[in-house]
Amino acid sequence: MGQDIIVFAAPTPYQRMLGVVVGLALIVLTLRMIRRFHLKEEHALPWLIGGGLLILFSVFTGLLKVFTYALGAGAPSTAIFVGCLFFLLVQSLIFSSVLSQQKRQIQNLAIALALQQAELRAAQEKETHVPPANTGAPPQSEA
Amino acid sequence: MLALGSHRLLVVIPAFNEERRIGAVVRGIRDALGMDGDIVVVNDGSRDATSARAREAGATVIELPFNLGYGSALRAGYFYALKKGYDIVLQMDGDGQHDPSAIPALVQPILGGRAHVVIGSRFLGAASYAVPLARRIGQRLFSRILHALTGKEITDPTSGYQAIHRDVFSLYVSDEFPSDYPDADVLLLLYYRGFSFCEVPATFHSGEKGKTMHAGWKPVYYVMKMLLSMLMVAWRHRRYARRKTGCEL
Repeated sequence: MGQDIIVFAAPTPYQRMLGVVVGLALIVLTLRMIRRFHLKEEHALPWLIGGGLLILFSVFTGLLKVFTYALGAGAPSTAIFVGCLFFLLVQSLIFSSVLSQQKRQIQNLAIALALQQAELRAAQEKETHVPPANTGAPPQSEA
Repeated sequence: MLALGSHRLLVVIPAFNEERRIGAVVRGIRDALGMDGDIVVVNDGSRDATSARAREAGATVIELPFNLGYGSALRAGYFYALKKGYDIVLQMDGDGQHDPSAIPALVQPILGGRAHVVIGSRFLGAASYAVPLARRIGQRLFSRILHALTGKEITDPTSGYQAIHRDVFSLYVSDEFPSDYPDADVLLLLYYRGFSFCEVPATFHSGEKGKTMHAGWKPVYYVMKMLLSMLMVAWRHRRYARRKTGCEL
């Protein structure tokens, strides 16, 4: 039995062009979303880096070759696919963490608001409820 | 002593876990201002006694329910200033880095109608500590970009020691104001909106060791985010009529 040899099949010009177009589209879309305040800069950075990496791998196939060998993948397309999957997995994990944090913050806000409203209502009731003036006369019996 | 006349001054201090220094900071400002001016400490979700120490020192405290970040804490201060009708806001850090002796120099150009925003620069004054190399490189980079885009020489674009005229408050409470690090991108925004800004010398002291907003990987993130933010400001406002209104000191 011979050794398993991974042969790097260089991406075709069409595949490289597609990579550049998809990477560019991702960057342009992200920038437009930030410009219109639909996305904050701090959340946009991973998408911009992802788009940039896609362009880098498409233009410099040597980098893609190193990436493919590092992953132990049989083909560059597989390496790109696994890379994208890992990227989305990490992004999803980060979003889950942010979502959990925001849920806790919203709960705390709702509780704080409810407590403040209760305090405000109590203060308003205290102001409107005026105790009867003391005239000094003895209280009359109901009988 | 600072003569404010009919102008109302508010000092805004965002603070996060600053129980050890905030009292001294508030008292130092109170000494520098005399009876003029109010001080508001925005407690950005601290887990220590920051609010209690600030109140003891005589400041009004705005309590944020949890940590929102430096920029959002500042925004809360500007909302307060707008609501209460203040004319000038002086923003300072709660860790004692900003020496109150520079307050008159910061406020005077605004009182005289010569600037909308005045920045206290550690590089024009006597710095009592060495700025870390990574931060210095970042500051130099943002200075260069600002100069290229606006033609203005700003030596300390990351300084949080600033005095601001009330005309700018509505911009600072808008969604355009960053929630994390409002630095060079805000100066660029001011420029595109036609507001004038300039620098005056200010003395900075070193902060508490190991307690910085720019630790670990944050400087890398900060530089990338700031570059992106500046690019976005330039893109959004490229059609705005620019007024090169430098202040004359």
